[in-house]
Amino acid sequence: MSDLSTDIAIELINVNKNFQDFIAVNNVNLQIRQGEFFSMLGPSGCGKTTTLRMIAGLETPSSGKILLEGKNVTSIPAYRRNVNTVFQDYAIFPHMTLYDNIYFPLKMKGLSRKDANSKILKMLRIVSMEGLEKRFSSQISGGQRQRIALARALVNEPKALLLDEPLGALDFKLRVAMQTVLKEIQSNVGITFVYVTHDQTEAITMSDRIAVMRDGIAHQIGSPDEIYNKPKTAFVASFIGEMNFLEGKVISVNDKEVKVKLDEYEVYCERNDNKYSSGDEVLVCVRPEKVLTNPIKKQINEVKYKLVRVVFRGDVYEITTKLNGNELKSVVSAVEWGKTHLPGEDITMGWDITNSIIYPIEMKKNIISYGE
Amino acid sequence: METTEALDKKINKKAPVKKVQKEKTKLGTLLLGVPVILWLLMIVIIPVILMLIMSFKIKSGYEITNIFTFQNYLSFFKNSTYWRILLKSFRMAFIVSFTAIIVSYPLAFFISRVLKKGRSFLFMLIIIPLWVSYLVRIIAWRTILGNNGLLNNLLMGLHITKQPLSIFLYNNFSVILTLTYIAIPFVFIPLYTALEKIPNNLVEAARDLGANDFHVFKSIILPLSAPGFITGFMLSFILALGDYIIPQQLGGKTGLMFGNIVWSQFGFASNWPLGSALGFILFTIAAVILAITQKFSGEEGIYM
Repeated sequence: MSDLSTDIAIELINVNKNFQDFIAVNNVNLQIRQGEFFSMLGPSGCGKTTTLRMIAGLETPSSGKILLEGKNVTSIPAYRRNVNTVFQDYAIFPHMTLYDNIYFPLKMKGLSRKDANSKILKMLRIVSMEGLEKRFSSQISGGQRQRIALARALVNEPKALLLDEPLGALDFKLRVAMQTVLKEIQSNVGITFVYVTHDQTEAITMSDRIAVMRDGIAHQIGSPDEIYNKPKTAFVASFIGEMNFLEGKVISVNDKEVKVKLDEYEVYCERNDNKYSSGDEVLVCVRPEKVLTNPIKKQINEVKYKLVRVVFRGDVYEITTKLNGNELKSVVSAVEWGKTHLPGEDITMGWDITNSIIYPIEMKKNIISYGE
Repeated sequence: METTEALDKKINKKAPVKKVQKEKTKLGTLLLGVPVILWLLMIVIIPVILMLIMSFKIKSGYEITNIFTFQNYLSFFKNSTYWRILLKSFRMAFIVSFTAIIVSYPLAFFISRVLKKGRSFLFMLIIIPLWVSYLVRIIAWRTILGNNGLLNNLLMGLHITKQPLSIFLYNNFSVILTLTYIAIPFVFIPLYTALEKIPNNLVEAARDLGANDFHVFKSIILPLSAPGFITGFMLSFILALGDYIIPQQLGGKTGLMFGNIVWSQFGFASNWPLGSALGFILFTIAAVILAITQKFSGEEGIYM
């Protein structure tokens, strides 16, 4: 491995962007590695697209620096940056054939049609659009436009490819198919991909690393595994996947774990960067699929909650239990759930300390809930 | 339980029913169109046919005889004054349209794509002259360009000239200038619409793919605003080609246009058949120009 700085393709240092009074991007620091599939994930208006546009050069940061391969490009215009973008609605030039669309960036570089031909044909092959190059964008489907946009952005062999919700306009099946296509193309060309999406499943399945953003702040940057299993804030925990949030009070704290009183029970959580002391109100979090119902082996954390409802989801049952104000959900496979319990019955719910996450109660307001 | 085959049959049976419904709505829309067709017949088609019939008659003495003849059309081709003035009108209409586009394009570009605020206000400013009477605007130009006019007073006031210059009025220049002024809103509106319609993300995509401002303009803005160009050019060309009031008011002896000749046949010369023939020639030319531009702007469909 060469030294660290050359391994970083894109770096954002203390980047801010304000639109008049509105803070779109708030002091974001990012390091995107060479050849990485990096996603920016967050609800709409979180600043992910603005961040991408600043990397592309279509937006100038209000303050901070953007480096491409160690070179400061903050004030360099988009047309002189060696990164290309696939836009949300593809932005295929309607007055040019698909062939001319892909030729466009090469033409801007001063290549003649003749010299560009082999590159264009190669790109058409990579995105499986051979034979359609004489058509116009109005004569192809959404998925095909997507491929052309990809080919056009990649033909110049940019240092990084920026994708702004490229699959947002496609229907579900095509979206899943295009996810695979994108991943394959990325591993074929070996170019850094910076991918903006609000779809958590998309981000988790495709990315090497993810930055989860909200209100212009990057809440957490890490691998999908870290983001899912060790969310740093309650927002990240609630935005990605399902999460139980239970309210409790700290009993005691040591280097490794926090002991919390949850109703009449005592549960343990792994310690994290936040500070806790006894008496603090806290949120105890655990993913539904990590909660065991009627565990055979004794678990470290065990509570007895009242069964509220059972929802059959096909492959699994979703069990909802309640005690006082706390609601605890568990996802159980159809084989494990014996249908023997009735609503109102007490059920033992158990989970391991490694799956038990703790947050200060102030973070409660950051929880995103879709039901309400 | 139904087999898939049976289901297929059911679906296929349903399909033709839909078709019948479609035809029904077609008949309905046709009926809705009847008033429009009647209207068109009354104010466009019948007058044109009447004019066409008139153009084949001939004037003898003070009466119009009902003989069917090509005499009027032949006299247009025989008499070089007629088609020379027609050619000159073409030339002037072309200059007018070209100038109007050159003037309107930067304006339309600036208002539709550069300005962020006050767009509709500026748009209104350009449209407002259309509310003022055509004749008033023409007379206004006469007072600007005349011997005792604004321009001459200004030049004398600045001591550039000692005497009023008479080169501004009663010639081709004053006709072209005024026609251009009249044509500008008609060119501006389609240009503005076309420019405003260009999605900003195409511009951003071009910039992202390595195009600087010049190339963005040349490769994206200009070709995508072509429909506005064509429509604007056509409108102003037809407007200028057939006009007779501006040449009459500001053209003097040299600024005569084809419209004046047509007009004089109906008035001063009182030769309605010849006037109809000349008018019909002008009408045919305008229709051909319209048809050609229609074909070009029809291609807009594949862009948008």
